[in-house]
Amino acid sequence: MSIRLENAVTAENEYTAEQPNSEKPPRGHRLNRKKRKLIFIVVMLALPLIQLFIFWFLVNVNTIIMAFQEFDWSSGKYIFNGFDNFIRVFREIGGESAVTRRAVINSVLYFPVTCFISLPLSILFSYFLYKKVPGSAAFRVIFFLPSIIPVAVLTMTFSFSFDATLGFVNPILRALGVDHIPSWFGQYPNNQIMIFAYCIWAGLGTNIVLISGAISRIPVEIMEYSKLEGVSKARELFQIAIPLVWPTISTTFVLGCTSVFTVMMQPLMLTPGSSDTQTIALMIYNGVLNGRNLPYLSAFGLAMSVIGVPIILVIKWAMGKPFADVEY
Amino acid sequence: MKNKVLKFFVLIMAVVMALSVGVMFAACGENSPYDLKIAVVHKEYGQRWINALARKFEEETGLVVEVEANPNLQSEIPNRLQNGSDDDLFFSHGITWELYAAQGMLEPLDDLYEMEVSDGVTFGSKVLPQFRTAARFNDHYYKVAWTNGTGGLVYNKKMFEDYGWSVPTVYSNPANPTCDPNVGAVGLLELCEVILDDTNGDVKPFVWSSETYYWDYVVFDWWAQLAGVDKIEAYTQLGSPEVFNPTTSPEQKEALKAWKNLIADHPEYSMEDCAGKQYTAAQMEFVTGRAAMIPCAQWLESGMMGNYDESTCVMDLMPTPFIDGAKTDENGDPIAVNYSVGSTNSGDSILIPADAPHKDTAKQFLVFMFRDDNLKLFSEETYGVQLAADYSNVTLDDEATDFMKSVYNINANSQKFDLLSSAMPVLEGFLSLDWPIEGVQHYASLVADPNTDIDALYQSNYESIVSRWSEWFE
Repeated sequence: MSIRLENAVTAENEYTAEQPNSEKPPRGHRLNRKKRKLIFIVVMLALPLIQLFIFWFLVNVNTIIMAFQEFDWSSGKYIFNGFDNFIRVFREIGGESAVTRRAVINSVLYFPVTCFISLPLSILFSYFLYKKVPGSAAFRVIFFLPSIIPVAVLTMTFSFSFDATLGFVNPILRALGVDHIPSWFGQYPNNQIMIFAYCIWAGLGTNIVLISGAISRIPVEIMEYSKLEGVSKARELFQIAIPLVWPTISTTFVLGCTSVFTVMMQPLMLTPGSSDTQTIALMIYNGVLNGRNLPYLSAFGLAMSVIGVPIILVIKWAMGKPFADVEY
Repeated sequence: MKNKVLKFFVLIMAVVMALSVGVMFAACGENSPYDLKIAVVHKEYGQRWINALARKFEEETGLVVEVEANPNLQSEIPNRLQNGSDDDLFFSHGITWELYAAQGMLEPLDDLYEMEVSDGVTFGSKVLPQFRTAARFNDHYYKVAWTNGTGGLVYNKKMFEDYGWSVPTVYSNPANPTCDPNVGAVGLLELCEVILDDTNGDVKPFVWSSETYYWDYVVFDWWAQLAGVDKIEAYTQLGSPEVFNPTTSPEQKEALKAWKNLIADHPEYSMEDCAGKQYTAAQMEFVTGRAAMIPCAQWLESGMMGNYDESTCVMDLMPTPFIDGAKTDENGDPIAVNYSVGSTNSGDSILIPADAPHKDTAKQFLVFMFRDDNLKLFSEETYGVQLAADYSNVTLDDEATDFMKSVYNINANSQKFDLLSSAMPVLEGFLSLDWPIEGVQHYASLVADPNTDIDALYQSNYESIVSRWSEWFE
């Protein structure tokens, strides 16, 4: 971006230099074009940068500081307490708190669900849509629909579908002769599995848009050549399409890894009030909402970041290895 | 052309930014267009009540009141307190007000509690005693409790009348299996059988949802019936870990066992898979007459207003049936108790920020609000919800619904209790008093596995509390 701007400014200067006697009307204190552009850029960038500084940088710095503090009820001030909050975090994860331990386990499980179930399904469906299988237009709408419906409506629709008396799933199962229908959302681990199922269903749309967009950019000549060579569809997918769109898949995979730390709305909406399906993000959200022991919650978030960020960076590095970047 | 577009764009941006800055400074200005700004969490109780009170206050005083009804207020209050705002009064659920009081962000309300609401009646004496105690922190009053919540079993009064069922007064009375009030006290357990028999199972006794905390309103009443409200109050003081000893204080455990016997051991008494049902679905099942009772609280009627047909459902709240072993009075009659819904940990609160621009007017409004005529107005506009105030001089109109009257009667005829506590482990988030240690309810797990050993569960919790007690209080 900066290179393009510099080039643009240089080109303008050249233009002005070549026409020293251009017929521009003289103006009093008018700034030259370069300065005006600079002011424009500064003004345009100032607001987002200030916003980033206040709402991201300062907030995160404050969180890090708070993670090493505790509230002193007698003075009404936060005081330094070293690593006490972190010790509590790891003691609770280690088993002192069943709820925290469960939240961490649930959160970690979002990684395989997102990256090894949802993502491969998205790749598969994207490829089929690209190959224009019969009904692909309809499937495109079906897959994308959950992405444009508000999450509150979508979760309500999903859970009502499995309601024992109001939903449509149980009657169908009974008609098919299933006698023992489980409690979908009423007990662990069924409720957690249902949340995973929801995440897969609702998450396909966005992934499919990204991946099918990348596949459609593959030059037609390559696909035509493979067709002439008699390459099978499976081989075309695994040895041509996937390597060519690997950067997109890699990015989606890395984003999927972050779901371990970010999933919150789905358990909150699908299983309200349940402690079985908590996640790291939901636990922190509930804690902050109740305003109880913010330093501990800061330490919890920071500890998760310290553990998670290197893992995600290693994954990102590893994801860049299987296929070399190809430009087309 | 390109330059013109650019100039136009810059002009628009400049106007927008100038307007933003202007609005920002206008908001910070001293000449606010109102004399009192009230921010109210907009949830179960709606906003009719605050609008009605605000308009009446305006008429009486000539002051201008601005009302903000905001569903997200609870999460916004910390920021508004820390960063300053033009709010004079907050009405919200579940704020850890002690945290902000300790930091000097809340206005001390000692003078408010001394102000006169009517001749010779101070504001403090108008607030119910247990809420007055719970409003103190570091020897000062910092909050006013908002509502005196009333919960329990809501039943379909029309259905009960149509089938000739009597409202149960005791948990169980095996001597009266037909639930004939002429034979003896009607038992809840026996009534469930009668409901199933009379309706061939088409109507289930109960519907409830995955938000199982609604059962707290029944189970906590049983707990307090067994323990007595004094023992519950001592429990909230956390004098020693022995308050959790299931041998010397088995009441909560026994109440939970009674629930297990009623619900987990009798799945036929509830609609199918209630533990997996959304709250709205459970409410729909109740108002459409598919279940006779639902555990809920005082907001059910206002929450469902306009969404059900009175030819199918008329709501009423029953006093929680007495459990065997309930404490009795000097006449040997069991003592009626009722849990103040929403009174766990820090509870519902009315707060005045320390830097509120119109603190005196805010206090004036609270005094106005706790006048008998306005207590009544609040209840009418919320269809039965009561402020945390003495309603002994308030009489409901004849037009009040059955539900409103039932809420009123339960509050008037029960010893109210709560689980409010300013003990350090509670404030620090180490301990939850409703379901120690971590606030995990056991209802869904008991339904999933009715063989769960409740005794072992409580013993294990007690041992864990004992081992961590000194650390919490160090």
